[in-house]
Amino acid sequence: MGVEGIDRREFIVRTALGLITVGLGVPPVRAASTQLGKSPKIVYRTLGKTELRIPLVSFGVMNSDSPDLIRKAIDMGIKHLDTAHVYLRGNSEKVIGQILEERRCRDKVYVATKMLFARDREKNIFISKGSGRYVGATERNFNEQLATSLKRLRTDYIDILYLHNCHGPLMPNYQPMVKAFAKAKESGQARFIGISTHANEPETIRAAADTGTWDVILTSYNFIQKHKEEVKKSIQYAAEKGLGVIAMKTQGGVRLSREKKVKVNHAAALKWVLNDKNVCTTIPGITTFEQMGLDFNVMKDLSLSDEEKRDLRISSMLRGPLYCQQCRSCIPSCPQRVEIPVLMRAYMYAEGYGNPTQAQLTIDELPPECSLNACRDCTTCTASCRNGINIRERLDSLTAMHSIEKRPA
Amino acid sequence: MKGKIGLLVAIIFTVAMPLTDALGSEDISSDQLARDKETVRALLPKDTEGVGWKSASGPEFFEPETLWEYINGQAEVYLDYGFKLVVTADYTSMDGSRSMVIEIYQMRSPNHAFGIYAAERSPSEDFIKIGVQGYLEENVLNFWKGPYYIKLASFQGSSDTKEILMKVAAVIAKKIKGSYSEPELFACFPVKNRVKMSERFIPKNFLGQPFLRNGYRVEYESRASRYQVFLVKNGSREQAEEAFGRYQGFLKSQYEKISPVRESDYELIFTKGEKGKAIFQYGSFVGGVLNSEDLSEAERIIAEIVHKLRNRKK
Repeated sequence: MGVEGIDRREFIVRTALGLITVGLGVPPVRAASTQLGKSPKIVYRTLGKTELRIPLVSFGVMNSDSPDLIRKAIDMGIKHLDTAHVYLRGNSEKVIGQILEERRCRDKVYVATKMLFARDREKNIFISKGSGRYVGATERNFNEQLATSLKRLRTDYIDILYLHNCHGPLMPNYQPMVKAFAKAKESGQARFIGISTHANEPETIRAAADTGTWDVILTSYNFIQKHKEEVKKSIQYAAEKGLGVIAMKTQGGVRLSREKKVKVNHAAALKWVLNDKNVCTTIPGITTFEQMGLDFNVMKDLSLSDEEKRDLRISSMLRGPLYCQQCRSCIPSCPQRVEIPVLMRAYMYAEGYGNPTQAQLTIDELPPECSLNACRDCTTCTASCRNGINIRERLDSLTAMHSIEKRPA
Repeated sequence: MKGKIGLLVAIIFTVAMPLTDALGSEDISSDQLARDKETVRALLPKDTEGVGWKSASGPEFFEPETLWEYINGQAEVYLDYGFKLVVTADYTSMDGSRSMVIEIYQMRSPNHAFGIYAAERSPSEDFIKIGVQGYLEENVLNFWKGPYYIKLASFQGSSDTKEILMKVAAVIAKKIKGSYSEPELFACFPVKNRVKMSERFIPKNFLGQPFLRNGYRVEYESRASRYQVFLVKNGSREQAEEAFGRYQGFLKSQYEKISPVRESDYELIFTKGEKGKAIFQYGSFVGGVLNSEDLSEAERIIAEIVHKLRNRKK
């Protein structure tokens, strides 16, 4: 911390960006006053065929450490709280339940939560057998999760119930889940049902829309996505079929802010998403009152100022071409099923961070059969990246580096 | 001319710095990371250590930059709690019919490990004495010790699942050397009306305020009303004074009417919003009582806390 409540990194980045792009004018460090004391202008959109009217900005309740934030958001007119069965092992749902009961406002707030089940990480399909940290995708486990969530939320219905983490087109079509969710809707335990996705979004969204089962799509969508145009088109496709669309990871997700240590202009990123009229609302995770004020003030005016456009452009630039988005869509294109995303991470350490030791450690974590050894025996590299990364070139570079590192002294 | 050169140097410096910041810096060095990986890897049970299960795959490591690959959106919360590294490995029973996943999260400090553990526990859990503390469900055992938060899960249940989880947890706990307990500041909180297992340590954005860090909070219940008591340890008296002032500023911005009181060696304010708040600053501490329906009781609680802080071992 240091300068007027912003940290050193943010100060330096903003200052430098200001100098780069507008001569020597240093941009203001606060884009907007928080004005939390006053009620923000609330602008609504309709969530597709659900016909729920929801403010453009909602509240993602993942970290529920400050219940006063949720109380304040409700007081300010926010109507939609989004959480998940697994967040903080259910404590996020419990906090919402306590507040809804204490405020006696269940009928004024739309509550969304998500049910999570085991999946095959390679094939991106749900599996009925429990695996890793997750229970199998069966009707029985679904009913248990739903009953637990209802109890934690102190309610007898969920407004939007999601099938969590659909990472491919087969997942929204997994019949045991489709049937279980449809039954929950019929019984009134869920008013509307949907899927959430943050990988392979375009294919997953189109597949979900084609099932005719789901009412709502919750998707990653942000200015930084390489495939944002594809996501946009799939959102339009879903919206034309009557599905309501809600956006998450609007700030570029944890990857940008944590991996690249870049502060995103929060309000500008929200506006970017909301300028797509097919998006009904967004669910930023709010952890401070200051951030709440900035987020809610976005509703006053969705137009992006030149400064905001510039901030987004620079953030996109800083994401740069070095960075594999770890979507794993390249793996099927490799006959050896090499763990390309891990190797791309190793490449990032070597070339981006100038840290060959870290690159080596990352490579060493892989079993030989899906690491660079497999590449050595392969004469024709067919691996391809949908975001345009030259995989072969990078693997060649890593192989050369790996050989040097492994050479006996 | 001299001025122009200075300006040029300043521009080069400010342009170069963020790029270096973005690409070159890691919170910990790669050597330290390698050592941390070895340390957490060594905590995993070996096939020879008598748990009766064998390693099936892994270990796999995830760092702050890649944690989202493993736990997706929840990564944000873990990072806020000082996450450094996680190792995860799958084990199977000898006949291969059942599996278990072990996750060992290394956090920034024992307080941070307690913090994320406590954020995920619930007072209704079946608590067990393993490590500093843990709890056991049908298929899950979670506990913390030192800077580690350990999570075990086995979803092919059988009659001896709990027994296996306990056995594996005991092996891991034994490998974590040292004696640990809950953060000592909780001893300064009143005992009366305290809700069992409600102690929390919240490293960032305490009470929704970025200037309040490393907050300790406990729930209380009296005559069906619930209130919270908290303490924030700042780096110095000056920092505490600044944080106290900024929090008052926030309360004023919420149209809360503030009544200040000066005690012998600490500052105290009361507000009467929807529910009352009593906030104090003593030395490097800011603390208070939230959602109080009885401000005179809140004042008594604060006097008790300050008394304990005065007598606390440095």
